[in-house]
Amino acid sequence: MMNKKYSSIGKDEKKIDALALATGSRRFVDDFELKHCLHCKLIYSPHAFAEILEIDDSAARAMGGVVDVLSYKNTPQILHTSAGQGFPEPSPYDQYLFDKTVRFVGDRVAMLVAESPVIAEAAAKKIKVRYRLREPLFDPEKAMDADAPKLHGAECYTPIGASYDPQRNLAAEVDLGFGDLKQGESDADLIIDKTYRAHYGSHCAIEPHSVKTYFDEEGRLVILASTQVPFHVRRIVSRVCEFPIAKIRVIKPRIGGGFGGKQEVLLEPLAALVTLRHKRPARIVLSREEVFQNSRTRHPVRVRLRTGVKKDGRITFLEMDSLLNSGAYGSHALTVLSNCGSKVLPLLNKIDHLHFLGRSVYTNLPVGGAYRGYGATQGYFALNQHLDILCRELDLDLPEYLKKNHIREGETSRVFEALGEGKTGVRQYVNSCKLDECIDICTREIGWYEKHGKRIRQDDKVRGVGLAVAMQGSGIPLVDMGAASIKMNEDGSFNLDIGATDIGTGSDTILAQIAAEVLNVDLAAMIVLSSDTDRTPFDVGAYASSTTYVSGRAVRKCAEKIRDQIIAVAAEMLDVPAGKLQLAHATAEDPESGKRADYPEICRYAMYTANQFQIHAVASEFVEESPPPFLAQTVEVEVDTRTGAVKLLKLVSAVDCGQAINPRLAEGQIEGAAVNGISYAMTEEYLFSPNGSMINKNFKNYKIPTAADLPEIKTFVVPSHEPSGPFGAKSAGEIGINCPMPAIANAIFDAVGIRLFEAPFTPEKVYKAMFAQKDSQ
Amino acid sequence: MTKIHWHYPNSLDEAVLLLRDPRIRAVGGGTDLIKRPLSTVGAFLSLWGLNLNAIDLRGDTWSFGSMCTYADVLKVLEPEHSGHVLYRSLLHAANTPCRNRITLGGSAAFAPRWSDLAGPLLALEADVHLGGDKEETVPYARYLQHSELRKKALITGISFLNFAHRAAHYREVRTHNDMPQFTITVLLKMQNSDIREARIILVGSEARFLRLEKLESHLRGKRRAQLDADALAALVEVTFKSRPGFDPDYLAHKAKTESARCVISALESR
Amino acid sequence: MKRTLNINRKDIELRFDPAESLLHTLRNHGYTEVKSGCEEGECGACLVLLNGKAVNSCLIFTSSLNGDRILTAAGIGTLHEPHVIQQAFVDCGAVQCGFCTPGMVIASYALLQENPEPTEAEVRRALSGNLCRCTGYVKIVEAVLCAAERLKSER
Ligand SMILES: Cc1cc2nc3c(=O)[nH]c(=O)nc-3n(C[C@H](O)[C@H](O)[C@H](O)COP(=O)(O)OP(=O)(O)OC[C@H]3O[C@@H](n4cnc5c(N)ncnc54)[C@H](O)[C@@H]3O)c2cc1C
Ligand code: FES
Ligand code: FES
Repeated sequence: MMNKKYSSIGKDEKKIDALALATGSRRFVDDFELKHCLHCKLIYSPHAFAEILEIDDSAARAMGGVVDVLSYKNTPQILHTSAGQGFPEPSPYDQYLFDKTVRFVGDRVAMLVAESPVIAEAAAKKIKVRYRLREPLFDPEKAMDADAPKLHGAECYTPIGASYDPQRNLAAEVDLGFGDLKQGESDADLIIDKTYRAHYGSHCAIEPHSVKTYFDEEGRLVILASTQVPFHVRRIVSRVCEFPIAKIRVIKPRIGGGFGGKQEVLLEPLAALVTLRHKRPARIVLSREEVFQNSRTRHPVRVRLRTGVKKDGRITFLEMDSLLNSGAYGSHALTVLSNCGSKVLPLLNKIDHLHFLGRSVYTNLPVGGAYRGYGATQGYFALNQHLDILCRELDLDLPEYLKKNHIREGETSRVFEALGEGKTGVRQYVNSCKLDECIDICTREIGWYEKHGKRIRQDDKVRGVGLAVAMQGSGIPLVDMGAASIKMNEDGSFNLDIGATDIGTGSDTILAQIAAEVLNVDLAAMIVLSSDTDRTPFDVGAYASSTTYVSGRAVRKCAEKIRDQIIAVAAEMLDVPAGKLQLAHATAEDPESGKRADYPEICRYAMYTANQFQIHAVASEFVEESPPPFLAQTVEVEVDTRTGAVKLLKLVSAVDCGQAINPRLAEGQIEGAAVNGISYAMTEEYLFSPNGSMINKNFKNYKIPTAADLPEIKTFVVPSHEPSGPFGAKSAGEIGINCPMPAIANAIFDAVGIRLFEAPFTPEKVYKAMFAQKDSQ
Repeated sequence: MTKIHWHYPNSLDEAVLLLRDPRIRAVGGGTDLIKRPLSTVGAFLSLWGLNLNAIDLRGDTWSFGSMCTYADVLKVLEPEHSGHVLYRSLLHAANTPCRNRITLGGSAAFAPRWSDLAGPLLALEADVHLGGDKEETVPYARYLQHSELRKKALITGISFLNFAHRAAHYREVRTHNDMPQFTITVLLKMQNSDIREARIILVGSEARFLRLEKLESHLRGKRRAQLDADALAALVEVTFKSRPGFDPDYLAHKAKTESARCVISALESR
Repeated sequence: MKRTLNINRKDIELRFDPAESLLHTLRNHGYTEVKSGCEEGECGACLVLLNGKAVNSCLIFTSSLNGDRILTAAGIGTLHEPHVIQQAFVDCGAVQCGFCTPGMVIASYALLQENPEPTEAEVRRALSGNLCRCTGYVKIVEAVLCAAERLKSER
């Protein structure tokens, strides 16, 4: 949909790097050739919880081509968090690069450094490690018991002073509420109390985590990283490797997907250490197996929801108790936990009595981290099923119920203020919300009123439809900052240098569209450079759905400064008052006198003619609010009543992401997220052996869908305008993943009347639930 | 450098001679071998120079060289023989690029739990041709049972009779690109609309290669109207060992249900 | 070991370890458009055309080849002379992070060589060896169908 007001905004511009990617010329980290590069191979713990008594690396070191073995013995011992967040990080400082204690199967023990990958691999097998085993803790429900094994010692702390207690394995705690639950309980006609479990998941970016480091000609450390957070990488590497920020340059080339998995500073300090120690380039690229087990995952969360309802559906109180399994370390433990409430509960803003209790606990299992949806996915799995249950109990129509109860334009929620990213939040009003339209589109497209509750049957197969809704945020208010710098060239082109980190989302393109719009030029006039800590201004990075909204505002502001400079130069050049000049098609014109100058003329004037100066500006933006995008999704499923196999027949998404800067790219975000959500709901799961090691750590056994597995997927970007956004934009990156799992669960119930509180919805699980139900009848 | 030697024999005799050394491994598509640790392998022997990729329908016999890939087989059978059991089975096996590389010989020799080839070969009562001191032709069923044969012999080709049949193949998979937990292959010889003979193979259960004989004999002489899915499922006796992520009882239930369905879909196929 | 292969229409002498996969050999010789995503034949990022057929280069011993013809995504089209398929991927928004794209382009090329007018279901089946985590495949399938249309009108 093309907006007439704009020349570039709202246009399906082609992604500026797409052709170079399709022909293979744009490079990813591992595509850069470094001469005399050292290759690293990490060695991991086979035990869930143990002390390292001895590391015998003599046999390995004796092998030809082995250069070094890193372990706790010879690396800096600095407590930190690997979470790539702003400073000071809201995650607890509970990790060393290498530790004497290992806390999950796959925790780091040592790293082999060798002349070739083959040698590194072979030598890694020769490292002998003696352990003293400790009793592991696997059940998050037992983590806070007095007699539970304690994973971390008293030296661990949180730099922001959040509530944290390693003595109770408590990585984070959030406890807030308002109103009076007792009152809410006595007002209720019915109390619904259910527990939902969101499971582990892997990001599965097709590019594995990769890093290459080297010294440049001047002895500065260059880090080529597949990261979502180049500036945080620079800061954290500097701290844990004890090397000055001034001597570190982080470059982010093309990134093969992130989804949160690369918002973690895992490998960069290790490669940096190798280069610092040996003055040679170093390379670390994880295998797929390592990505599954040793990087980061989606935090499993157990969510208990208790709600009181009146017969008319009004919710008299809501209590959410979330227990997040953080795994062995507390990466994002506080903020994902907070988002499980803060991105979910404001949706129902008419509840007077509300309580959110969240706890993140340590266990000797793989470590959670940032993952698209960031706690909201887990929370919405619970809430959307809960509301479906509520509507069925009271015989209400779910779409109508949602429309009546969700937050609306001009409204606020007390949750916004009470709960932020690990601290108190920010009061804000919703100024754009087209969720009603989203719900209407989705129900119409799926044929809700023809199909819902009808259990249409053909032979053994029964059909059902399901609906789910969600909101997310657009950046972290009062925290996130993005910046841009623009300079003009004498042919009328512009260098746009941005800290924002394009990890495949297309942010380079949409940020260029924003600048092109302000400057009245074609997209082709923008030359984009992003995420090079030496060359571009700061940006927090690609997370929290912040890029379009936060960085986009910075780009707009910067482009406006350039526009003003262009007009000033043109005014001087043409000798007309600046106020009379208008910009159109790369030209400044005074409509009255007809005097005009095109951009090349203006820039040449500024560069060579009089009062010479470079047309150049820098701007940064930090934001005071985080306008939520909204989403509805409906699905139709077909359940095989003999086998429990669930087939997804169709998925419809409708999103209010504000003004889509580039509708096609926005659709792409929603589609990709939706399919990731489908996959999480249907097939993805971590399987563990009794000793806590992941069994299915490869694509052979951890299944994600192919093109042949997916049904018809329809995506609608609903017209909307966010007053505070750049040209009305909000965000679209994360939200799409929140609804498939609950929508499918609701659809399965609609088809066969069974309620699944935990995914994935494998045939086996559905079958067993159907039979348990038959038996109990 | 990995210390591994490669042999490129030009003749079958040379290949067979070399393969007497148990540390020398024949490489077909290499799709499985390349993922294995090399510790037990002394040398590889490439089968690519031996011209083992002929495909022939002569008289009433189909014969395929062992170096034919899954894709080669599909291509030959398409479109006239797209009802053929081998076509039905291999059409969705592995994934598109893998089908271009997996060889009949490598697959028949490796015969994994997830094989989409073993079922149709057993249903066709195919023979495998073995190169060796004395060239030998053995039924594939026998080949599978004799680990001695499997260890030593080089498969040079596969053949089976060409006859009219109806077929269906079921793959128990989570996504299209998945190695099946089990497969069911149904081959029916018909006499008008009656089943004259049924051959039904379940690959991947505890027995690995299982012929569903009870079901086969029940079907003899029957026609569609006489078949009831529940009754057919009840005739399937199968057990599974537990494997990560799968309950053996559920797999057995699924195998029974899908066997019955597979019979009906074979009957209704054209 | 040493061997000559015809890569992107040029005879190239390659040096490699006897147990090395074609994927590693190609990447070590600068053909970095061939990507590594799993090294077990599951993701398709490493696809190349071997004698005209799409194969997973991670599953092939370089040592088992000799004189064979290999085409990578960069051999199909370049930035300056893109192939219709590559252009269709760009035009349809089928490229997000682009890591899967060279492999997707190879799979699509192989499909359209064999079957110039595929149905949507045929496209989806042909791409079933390629994983993409970014796009949800919607626009990739669209791109292949669009490329087929464009190739048809070129003929
Ligand atoms: C991702 C993936 C998915 C797959 N999915 C499926 C599937 O769904 N269905 C399916 O059927 N298969 C599937 N396979 C194929 C299967 O797992 C094996 O890789 C394949 O069967 C091996 O065939 P090959 O020709 O590559 O043999 P190789 O890897 O070359 O050899 C395998 C074994 O057979 C021996 N061998 C090879 N050729 C001969 C011969 N002519 N005579 C005697 N011995 C020989 C070798 O020495 C070796 O021991 C899949 C493979 C992959 C990589
Ligand atoms: S790298 Fe070859 S298929 Fe994944
Ligand atoms: S575009 Fe990123 S994996 Fe396909």
